[in-house]
Amino acid sequence: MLSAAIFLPAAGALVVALLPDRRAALVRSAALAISLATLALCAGIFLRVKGSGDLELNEAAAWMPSLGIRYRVAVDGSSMLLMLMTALLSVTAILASWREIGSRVKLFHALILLLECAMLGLFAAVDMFLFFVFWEAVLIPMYFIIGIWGSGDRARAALKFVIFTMSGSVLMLLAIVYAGGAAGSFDLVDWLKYRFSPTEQRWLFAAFALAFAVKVPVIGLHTWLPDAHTEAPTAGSVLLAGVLLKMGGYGFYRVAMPLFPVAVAQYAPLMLTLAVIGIIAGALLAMVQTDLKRLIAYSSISHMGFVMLGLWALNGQAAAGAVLMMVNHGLVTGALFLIVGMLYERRHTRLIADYGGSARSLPLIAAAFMFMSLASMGLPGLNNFASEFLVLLGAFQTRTAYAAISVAGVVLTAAYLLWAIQRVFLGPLKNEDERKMPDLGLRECASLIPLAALVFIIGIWPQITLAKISRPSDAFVALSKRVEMFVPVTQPPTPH
Amino acid sequence: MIDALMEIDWMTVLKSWAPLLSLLGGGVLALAFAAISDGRAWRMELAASLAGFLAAIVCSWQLWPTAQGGALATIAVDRLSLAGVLIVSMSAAFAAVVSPSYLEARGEVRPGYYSLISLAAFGMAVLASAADLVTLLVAFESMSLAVYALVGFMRGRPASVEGALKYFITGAFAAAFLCMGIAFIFGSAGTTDLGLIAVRAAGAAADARHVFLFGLAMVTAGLAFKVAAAPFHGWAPDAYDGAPTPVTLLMATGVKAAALIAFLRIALAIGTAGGQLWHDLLWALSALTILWGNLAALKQQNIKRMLAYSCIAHAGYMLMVFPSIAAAPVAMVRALLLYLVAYSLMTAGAFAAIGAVGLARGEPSDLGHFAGISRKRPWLAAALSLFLVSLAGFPPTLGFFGKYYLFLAVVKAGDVALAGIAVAGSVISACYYLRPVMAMYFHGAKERAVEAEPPLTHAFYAAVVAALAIAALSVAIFGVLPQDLVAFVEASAL
Repeated sequence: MLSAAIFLPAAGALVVALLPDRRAALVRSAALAISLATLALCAGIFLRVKGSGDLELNEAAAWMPSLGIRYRVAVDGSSMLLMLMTALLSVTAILASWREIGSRVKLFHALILLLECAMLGLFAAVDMFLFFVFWEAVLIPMYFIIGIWGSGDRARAALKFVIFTMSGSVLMLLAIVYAGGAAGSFDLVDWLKYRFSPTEQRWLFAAFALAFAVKVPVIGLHTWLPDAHTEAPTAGSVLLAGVLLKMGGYGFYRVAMPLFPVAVAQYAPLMLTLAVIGIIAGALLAMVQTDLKRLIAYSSISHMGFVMLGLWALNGQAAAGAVLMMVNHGLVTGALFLIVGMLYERRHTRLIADYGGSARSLPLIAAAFMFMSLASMGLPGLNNFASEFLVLLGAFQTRTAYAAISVAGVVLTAAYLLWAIQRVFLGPLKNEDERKMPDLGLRECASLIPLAALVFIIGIWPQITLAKISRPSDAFVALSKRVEMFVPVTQPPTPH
Repeated sequence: MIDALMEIDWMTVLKSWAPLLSLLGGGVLALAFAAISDGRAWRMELAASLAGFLAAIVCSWQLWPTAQGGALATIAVDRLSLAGVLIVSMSAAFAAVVSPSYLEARGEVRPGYYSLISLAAFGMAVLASAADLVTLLVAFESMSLAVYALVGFMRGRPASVEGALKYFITGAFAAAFLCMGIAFIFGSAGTTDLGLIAVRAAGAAADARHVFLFGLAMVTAGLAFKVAAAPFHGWAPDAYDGAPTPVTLLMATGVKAAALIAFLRIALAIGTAGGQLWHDLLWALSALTILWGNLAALKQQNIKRMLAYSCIAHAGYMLMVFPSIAAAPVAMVRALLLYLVAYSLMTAGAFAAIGAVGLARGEPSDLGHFAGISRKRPWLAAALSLFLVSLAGFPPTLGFFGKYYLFLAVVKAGDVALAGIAVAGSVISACYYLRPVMAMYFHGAKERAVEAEPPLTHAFYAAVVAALAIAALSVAIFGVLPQDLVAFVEASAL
């Protein structure tokens, strides 16, 4: 069942590739149908996941027995929630491209579906070789999506995206090879039982963490992000911000931290500091952007800082908040990129200065943007509030100082978003042509309403998600804290 | 003398050497056809060559399961040599199959071409099977002579002649190094038999040990020339660029594979007798080759030159197995063989695709010629992209799995630093491998390039398409399901 959900999009990509290129509408409909079927499948699996804290729905098959590599997938509540979000955002991405992508429609949709397969597979992979294959398999479709259908300096942005990610991931490959050789297996569960020496843990963690930190991105390794997010077509931005960044956070959650507790204890101050700097600096950088898409891109850095804070606080509540935050950020930022894409489709500019008073001409778009911005700021009753609150609540218990500084990030988020709303949507109308432009159409509503509904539902009733992720989060914290297992308590030698 | 001849079991010889003899037979027959001065005789020549390759492949495949190992009169008849024969025969067959449309489009169809490929392949096969240094030298030379002629085959193109001359002169040096090295090894160890060298060298006096190491270094230099390992790689970009693209393909895959397997045999025979100095030398050779190849490739505007440096870099990756070969011989042989298969498939595919892009006179190998071809020839662009992405080592391609398997062996042997250098090289390589992809997909076609596009009605173009399809499918399918390939290389190195 899990494998069916992962590989359905890949099979769909093959089907789409065989359709005639001229029948663009058929290609779009087929891709949409496949992604909807995948979404339905993921939703069905999500309901079956109990959220017990263990890996559920195990599926395994022999792959390369002589190398100790198996095809093995399984999920816990957190990864299944991320998969569900991925499937939803893929549908959204296809809807968003309906009119934006006019050339090489077939190639585009095949790539989106391949990308979906790789993203879903990553969140379910338990074998680390498989994990790495999915991790890298995400790169190539996204590279083409940015490079072919992007805007501006797309070739450079696409290459930068690949090189940054690859620099980290080859080190991860080396770490996987080393750890697999040492543990004699590539199964994550076997690795969790293997006793890596403290020195090994330090180095292996560093290699894994670098790969994940580039993806998150942790501040300092983030420079690929604004370019890639800005130049990508809307679908690319939605999936980049919505899913690809979560791959980094998920990597810390599933792999880097539970495997290497000794390193976690040692690196915690550094990572927490970077997380807090990311929160503040990301928000400050977002404030000075003149391009609406770049603004949202930088806001992602800030929000992912909260995710890192939640994970590294090593507290059950904070970790659950971090996982929920990944999902919420995917929904909200995905929607914001979608709306900016809609504005761009109408006005062909992303510069904030070109806009003004658009609420008068495009009231529905303005309302949608404001709604999502309020969610992003963490307005109580909307989804991000629940996760931000949990992260801060948990972090205050274990890492008070870092949490205290991070609160400033909440204020800054409100500042840059409200200021952006003011400049774009409020005030007198700057461009009279906007009055003639259509407001939200049916297709655009269809892509936004599910996201908005989830923002609302998770906001008032976060329990539906937390029920599945709280025990896995506790398990994550327990695994990441088991330092004693690796560093034996040295007894003073007793003289006799 | 007669008695000695009578004692030989000729059937066993015939059977064990059948793959080599098939190649030689195909070559001789092709040469006979080439002598017929009929304008269409080249088809017969091609057929004879291909029959030889096919026979060699079938024979090796048949012999492989029952191969016992050991050597028969200075020719090793173990699974490693059969695997080597398979790789070089397939690479030569691949080169021959993509040649007709290439040569005909450039008006360079002349007799002799396919017989030279066959004779080169024979040299490569013997080189990959040599169990004695003298046999190795002879095979090395017979392979090289045929390839020199092939590089200069396009007489109308100055770059081709220039490349051939450079290759010949440096190749002559390489042969001299090799010859001198063998002489020194013989002088110190008293034998050229690879099975005995290590024992004799270990028993030699301390003075002789220096001579032995010097000889070893000379032999290494000679083979490093053919492998195009830095700093002995200077000829490669010119020769690769100047040669007809199918010949470049042959040089990049078959010649390199044969030289690497020959070197592998020497290294296996030497074992620990080379000592720390030999280890350090090989380590430096590998690291330098990886870095030099990858860094120099960054600056290339000509895709054939770029791939030439890429082949240098890949030679560096493959040389990674040599420093630790004494520690874990079996794992290293397996890793090298698997990587050779992966590398040969993707490199052969890439060069075949490049040859098919410019099916016009001259060599449109400038990157600008690739702008926008994804629209006009989507399948060709997709195939070339697949090979380049595989060369860069992205999963789920065979290139990735080969690297993975190689790095696993090297890291398990404890050489994490060298693997780290290779990993850095891989990141650099992504920068240049993606440039043709960018050109093909991200840029629009230039008007001039569109005009130069020839009609694709050539009869032999179907053969190119088939060859490309086989290579592309192998790279994709073995990338996802490499188990059979792993089983093959694991059984080849016992």
